[in-house]
Amino acid sequence: MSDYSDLDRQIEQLKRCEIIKENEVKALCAKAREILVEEGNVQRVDSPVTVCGDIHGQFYDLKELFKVGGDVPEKNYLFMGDFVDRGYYSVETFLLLLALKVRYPDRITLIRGNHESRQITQVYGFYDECLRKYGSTAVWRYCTEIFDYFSLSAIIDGKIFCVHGGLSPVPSQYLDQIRSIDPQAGGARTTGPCAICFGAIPKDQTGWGVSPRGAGYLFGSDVVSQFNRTNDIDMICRAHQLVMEGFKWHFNETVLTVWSAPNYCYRCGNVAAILELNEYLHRDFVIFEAAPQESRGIPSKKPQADYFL
Amino acid sequence: MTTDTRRRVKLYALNAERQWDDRGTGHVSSTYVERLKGISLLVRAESDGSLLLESKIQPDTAYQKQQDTLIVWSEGDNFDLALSFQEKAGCDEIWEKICQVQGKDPSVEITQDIVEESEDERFEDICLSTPLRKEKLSMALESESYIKKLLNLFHVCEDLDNTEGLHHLFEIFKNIFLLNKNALFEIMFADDTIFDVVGCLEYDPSVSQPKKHRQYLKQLAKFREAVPIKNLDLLAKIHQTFRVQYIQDIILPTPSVFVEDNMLNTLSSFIFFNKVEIVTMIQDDERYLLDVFAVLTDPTTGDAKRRDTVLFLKEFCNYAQNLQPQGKDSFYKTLTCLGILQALELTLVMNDKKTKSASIDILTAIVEFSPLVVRNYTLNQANRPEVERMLLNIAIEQMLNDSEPELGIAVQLMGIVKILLEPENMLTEKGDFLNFFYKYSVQTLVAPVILNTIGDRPQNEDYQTAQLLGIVLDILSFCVEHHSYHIKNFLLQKDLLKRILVLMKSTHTFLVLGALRLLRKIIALKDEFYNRHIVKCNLFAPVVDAFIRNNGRYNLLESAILELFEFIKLEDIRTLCVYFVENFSKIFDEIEYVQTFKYLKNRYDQYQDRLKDRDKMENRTDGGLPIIRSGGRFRRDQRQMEEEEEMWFNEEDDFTEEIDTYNNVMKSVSEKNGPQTQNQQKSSPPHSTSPHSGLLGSLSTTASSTATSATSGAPVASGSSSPEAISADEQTQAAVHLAAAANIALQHHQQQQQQQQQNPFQQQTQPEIAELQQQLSSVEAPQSQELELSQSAAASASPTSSSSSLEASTSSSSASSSSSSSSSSSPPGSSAAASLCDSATVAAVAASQFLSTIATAMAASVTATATAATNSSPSISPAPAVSSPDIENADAQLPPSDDASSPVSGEQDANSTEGASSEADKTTAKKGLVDYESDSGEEDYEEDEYSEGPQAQKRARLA
Repeated sequence: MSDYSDLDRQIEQLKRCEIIKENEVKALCAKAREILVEEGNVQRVDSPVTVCGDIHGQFYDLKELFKVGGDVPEKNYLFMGDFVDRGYYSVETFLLLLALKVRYPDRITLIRGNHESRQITQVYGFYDECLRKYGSTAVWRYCTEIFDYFSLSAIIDGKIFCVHGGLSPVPSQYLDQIRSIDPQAGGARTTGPCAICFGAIPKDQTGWGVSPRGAGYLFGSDVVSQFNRTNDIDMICRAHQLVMEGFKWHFNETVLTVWSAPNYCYRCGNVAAILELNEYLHRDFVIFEAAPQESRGIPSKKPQADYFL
Repeated sequence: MTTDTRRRVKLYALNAERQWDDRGTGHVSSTYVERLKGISLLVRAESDGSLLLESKIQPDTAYQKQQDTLIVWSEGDNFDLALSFQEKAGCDEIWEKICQVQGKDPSVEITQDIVEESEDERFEDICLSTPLRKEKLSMALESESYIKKLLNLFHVCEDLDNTEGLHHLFEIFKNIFLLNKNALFEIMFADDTIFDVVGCLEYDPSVSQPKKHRQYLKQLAKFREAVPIKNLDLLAKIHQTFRVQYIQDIILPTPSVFVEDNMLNTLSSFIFFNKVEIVTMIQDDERYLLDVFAVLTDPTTGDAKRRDTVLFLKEFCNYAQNLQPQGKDSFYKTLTCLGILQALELTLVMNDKKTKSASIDILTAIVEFSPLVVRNYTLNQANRPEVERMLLNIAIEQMLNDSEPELGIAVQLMGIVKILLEPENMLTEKGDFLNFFYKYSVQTLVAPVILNTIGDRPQNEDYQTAQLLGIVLDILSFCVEHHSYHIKNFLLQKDLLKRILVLMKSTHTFLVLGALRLLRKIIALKDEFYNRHIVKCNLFAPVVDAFIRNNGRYNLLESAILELFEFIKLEDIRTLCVYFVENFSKIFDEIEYVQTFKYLKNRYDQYQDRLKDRDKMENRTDGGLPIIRSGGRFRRDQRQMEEEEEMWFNEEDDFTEEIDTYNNVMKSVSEKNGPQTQNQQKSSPPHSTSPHSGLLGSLSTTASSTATSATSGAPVASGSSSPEAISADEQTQAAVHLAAAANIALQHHQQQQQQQQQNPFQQQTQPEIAELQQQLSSVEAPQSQELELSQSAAASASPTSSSSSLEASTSSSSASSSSSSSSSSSPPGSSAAASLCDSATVAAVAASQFLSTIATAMAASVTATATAATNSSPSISPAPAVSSPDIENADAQLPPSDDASSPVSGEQDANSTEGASSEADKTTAKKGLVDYESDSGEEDYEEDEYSEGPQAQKRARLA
């Protein structure tokens, strides 16, 4: 247990929404890398498990999520990406999830969202936040490096396929084809194989289309039913899009969107949801709202003691 | 009524979204309303006469008149109303009435002084309402010196421990900040008020204990001056900026990443402009920065003081980030002129962690703003004799020697190196800089890889080493992706790829992935040259080994390996497909979960079938010609190819064989002169003469033995002349063969030159060479003419004919780059032509004939080009082949000069007097000067090469 004492302290610290030291981040990322590098592009996950959608740096709402859904390691979790950007606490949110992953690797699965990328985080806040909170971009570099190691998708009991965005035409006719994707090979993220996590959106018509959000594909109901049939899948679970009610079914309950950032961007007024699956894959939705104002702290930066200018 | 149009108004009310809603148009009047017990404003709708407004004029309501036709006021707590008059006269009439009721003079614009009578809560409401109100409010705060009054009140409250009052004051000041008024900031942040303002902000009602901000600012925060600042205004600005920054970051954090939500943007811009002003003031002070740099570079400066100076400069650079591009430009120019880069060379190598890391931050800022400045600086260093260590190499060494377990420094320096190596942002310095890097720096960079891959598995498996190797691989992958031929030559000649792939046996999976990724980047280039190398060195073996070791686990490594083969499948890379299937297919036979391997095998079978078909055809027509070449490695379906393509492929094939020979030669050279290449590294200027610590340390000790370059020329000679002898037997094929050989010989020759030029032994040859040079000067004129001719021929050679331009460029570049070698070495050849007409020379002449034959044949359609090529070839064709005979010649004629004649003579051309002086230097054996000698020699060479840059590149591409 002494091995974990440092880590446990860091987790406690992060749970109070306090950042950990830069070298601790680096060490945490190194440990996480050891674990993540052994995971597959389609990571196998066993029920029971609670599936969550986008968090987007809304730290206090993540705490709310654990409050309504139960803590790790008592409960198993699967987070479908987009941990960072937009909210005020991307650093704390991401590091807490990563620390939990390192502490309880079998209890929590993190897969990659479109915001887990160097480019996107430079625009939507994570980069600036790291700079503000640590005074340098080192932490951002460590974190973005670890992004490259996240699984692209997960499959629960071989029946529920979970992915951040959805399907894309290139690799996902067969689940096994996803196996020969190298998420670190780079290239065209939006059109290539990685498009499954980078922005696919279900659409009303059949077949494929191009996403109006400029990244990824639209996939129709026929695509889904063929995919599910070929791979013997019951349903596809994904996140990526704000749904006011927290979750939303598509295509005759074969695709589900789960959204876990309540009052998204602190102003959208939506509720959030998580999907609890028991060992028989029975589905239970838990709806929750944004954490009350008084439970939120103020983010701050460590003052700099010496100055020359 | 005459008042009809005068009293016509529109009634507006402010809604929850802070928008003005139109509540209707009507006529306004002011009459006593019994029910309200007072004079009231009434508006009756124009349309139906209904009552739109009935509002008593309260004695304390603040009415405002704006723009002559607008009256605005607040009703109740949060209900703002406005009357917009059609005519000014009507507005004035009602205004008079209101003022009359409130007992005010109608000349005022606002009937109540909000400030005087406002309660705290009232105040808060007002300041958060309309922009107009904010404006008015801040004007009032300013003109009535209200802030000072509040701060007096603060002192009273604090003395009396009046917590409630203090909480109110906190809210008041927080809201004053939210007014976003620069004028108010000026007042609040003045030297004598800022601490009181901070004091007010300590009493946040939402926390139980007040925060001790003043204590922090006054006692804990320390202003440090490495070099005292005498300008008092500047000092005041600096202190103010620090404190305001503290208020922004710590006291009133703006957590928002949404720009539009940022209420405190005026505060940000206050800080911004302060910083700009500080940077400008420091820059304008001519003496100050000179003093700073004097302290920085003075060897007697103490460590602590130097650290402070560097930290000062780092903040200075940080502040300069706020400048406009133009301002930044002149900022960095100023720093460069003052010698920031020279200073960084000193501070980067300091042991003090803070000094080092701040130095890296400064370098990062400079490189990010203008990599050009740093590149040019490095190139200039290469020209200067007194420079012992070059900035780029210092950066690389520091990267490799990072002793921190997190390798933070190494990672940051990797970023710097990559920016410097990024061809996208290179201008005219591109060729020179890449030459520089691949000549002086890359060996240092790969040293840890070489050192760690001596055996068949990584030597040192500790985490830090693995991380460092990962960084090196990262840079190499970057080079493979962005630099075409430099890196290719480097990787293939050093047989480095094989070494790198030893790292696939590492226990650190991320390192395994790093090595794999480099290979993947190479395969992505779809460059046959690389592909053949992969086949020849059996470079898939380590990959397949890693796959087997992974034992079918579904993880990142497996996916990455599968993806690599998937890529070969998708891109239909035949060489690799055939190589893979023939060697490894059995291992993958059972893998069914991906279709990749099945597909590759099918594809292979298709190739084989086609070959069989063609064999039948060939046997019918011409059974004598061997089609299967290179030990049945694989066959081509030549029938399907265009003739030219076929030619190209043949050439390729032979070329590879040539490369094989060449590699063998290289191997023998490097075996013989084992330490030489390493020694070359060591003696080259970029390397520190001080002993390295860590990884490099042990390397340089192995490299410390002196080189014997005397023999380095000989094996080459035999190596490149033997294929020529063979080639004399076969006809056209052999000619192509020869072209390739020439090409290689040229490359090789250049390399030899490099090595030789760096060789300190060259100085022994000085007297002989001086003699040689005299001979040379008599022949020089006609030769240079010839040279020009060949260059122009090369320039005119059209790229449409690949082979002719290949030759033209080969010839011209060899002609010019060997202007030192071929032309200078030909005098002995011509003076003693008869005696030296050995077999190699014959081969050379034969080669020239073949070359021109091929060139003419290939470029038949482009006659001009063809003639150009043939014109040029006689003058040049000796060059590639000659490199060997000449060296032999030199050996024969000038026994003591060894092989060094050719490169040194180039230097001699330029300055024979210097040769004499360097003679003298030799006796003192000063290393630095020796370096300089070799250096200047290389510069000559480099210029030659650079002038041929494009052609050389073309040649490389064709190759």
